[in-house]
Amino acid sequence: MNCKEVQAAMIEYLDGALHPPAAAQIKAHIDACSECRREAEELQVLLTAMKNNNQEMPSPALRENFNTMLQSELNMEAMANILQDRGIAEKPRARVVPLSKAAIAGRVAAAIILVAGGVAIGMAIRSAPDTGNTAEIAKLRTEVNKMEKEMKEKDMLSLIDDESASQRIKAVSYAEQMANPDQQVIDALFNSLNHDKNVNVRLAALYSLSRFADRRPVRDSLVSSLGIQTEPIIQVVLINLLAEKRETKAIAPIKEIIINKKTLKEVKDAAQKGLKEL
Amino acid sequence: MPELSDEKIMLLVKEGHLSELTVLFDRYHVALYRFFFHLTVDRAASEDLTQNLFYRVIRYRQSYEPSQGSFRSWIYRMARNVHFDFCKQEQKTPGRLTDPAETEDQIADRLTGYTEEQYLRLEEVLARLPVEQREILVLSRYQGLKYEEISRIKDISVAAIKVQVYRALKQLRTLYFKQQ
Ligand SMILES: [Zn+2]
Repeated sequence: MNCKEVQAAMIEYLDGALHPPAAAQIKAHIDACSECRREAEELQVLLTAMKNNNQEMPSPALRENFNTMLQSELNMEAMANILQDRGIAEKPRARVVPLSKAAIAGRVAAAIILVAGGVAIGMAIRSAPDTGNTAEIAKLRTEVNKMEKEMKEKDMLSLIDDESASQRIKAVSYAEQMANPDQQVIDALFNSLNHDKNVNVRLAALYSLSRFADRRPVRDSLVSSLGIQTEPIIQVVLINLLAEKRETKAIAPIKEIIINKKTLKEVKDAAQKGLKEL
Repeated sequence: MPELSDEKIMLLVKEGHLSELTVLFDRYHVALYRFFFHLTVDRAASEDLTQNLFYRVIRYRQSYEPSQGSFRSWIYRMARNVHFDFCKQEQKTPGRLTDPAETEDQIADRLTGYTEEQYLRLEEVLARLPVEQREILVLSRYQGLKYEEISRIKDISVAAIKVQVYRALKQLRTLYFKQQ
């Protein structure tokens, strides 16, 4: 073998990718030829360094940003589903998993539960349609049962101020399972609905509150909340809920939403539709 | 429970189980971040590009067809496009990402935190290669992809890839050992 042939096969030789007889030939040449030996040594330095250079790591912000993006995508999908279900959107924005006949809030809950990354939310599981992802659902169900046993009302009230959004979702969702929550719990839920900085926590709070929407004070507070919400998905879910309950006090805030220039077109359409039902 | 393959998970994502993408993010984000980093030598930009890439995965999930190759080659093809768009957007010289006038000190500044002198120097030298050569080295060496895989990502023959790797390494060697 001459130098040119050896150099052409050098990388595969260094990678150990050659058959033993070919490798032996090259080794013999390298042992005898100082120029090729130098090339082999220097290339080996580079190959090893590139293979082992694993220092560079992204900052934690990358994962946080990814999670935020995924959440907002899921929220948009959930809203598209709701609008489609109400016959408002002409076409689905994207192909999404068909969610059979689950309650509207259940669909939102299903979105939240996925966002929360395995955090158990009882409501979503009961009303979640069969998405074929039964192993995941079963796992969540176990977590919920565990959670139900462990969590007391006072835990819920302390958890509701937790730093982690998934913990807060857990807390507000737990309230949904209470047969008869006291005023303190209801107030805490409204506080989350109206002031939590994470839209998924607000949605989860809204879903829990919707279970108690037949109580007059709860209904009135929901109507007030409609006046301050600006997040499209919350507006749509609230409008749908109050329209379903035939809550005539909601007519005024719904009209406000319709004339507000900042309101999203899809929300206006949902508001018009809700108004007709009232 | 056995781990699902990348392809099965991506199919779930395509069917609308968006949250499953978290699993693929876990598996790939560090490698893809490094892919961008070795190409740009810019940490903030590399995080943005990685984020941008996963956003495209969501947007274009309907275009994923497992019959057309592995998830890995699909996402790397997209990563190349993301990087290409970045170059255009930054209006950097097409063949060369870092400013040719940038001194070694300036490049070293962007690599603070590199404790190994050897890696630092390698990164500086890599930044001086034309982008095509840099990319082939990042894919085949830093990322450890097989020639067959790179062949599918770049849509050229394995033989052509081998030649490109050889030339790029030769060039890298010349620059790296030039002043030592
Ligand atoms: Zn020789």
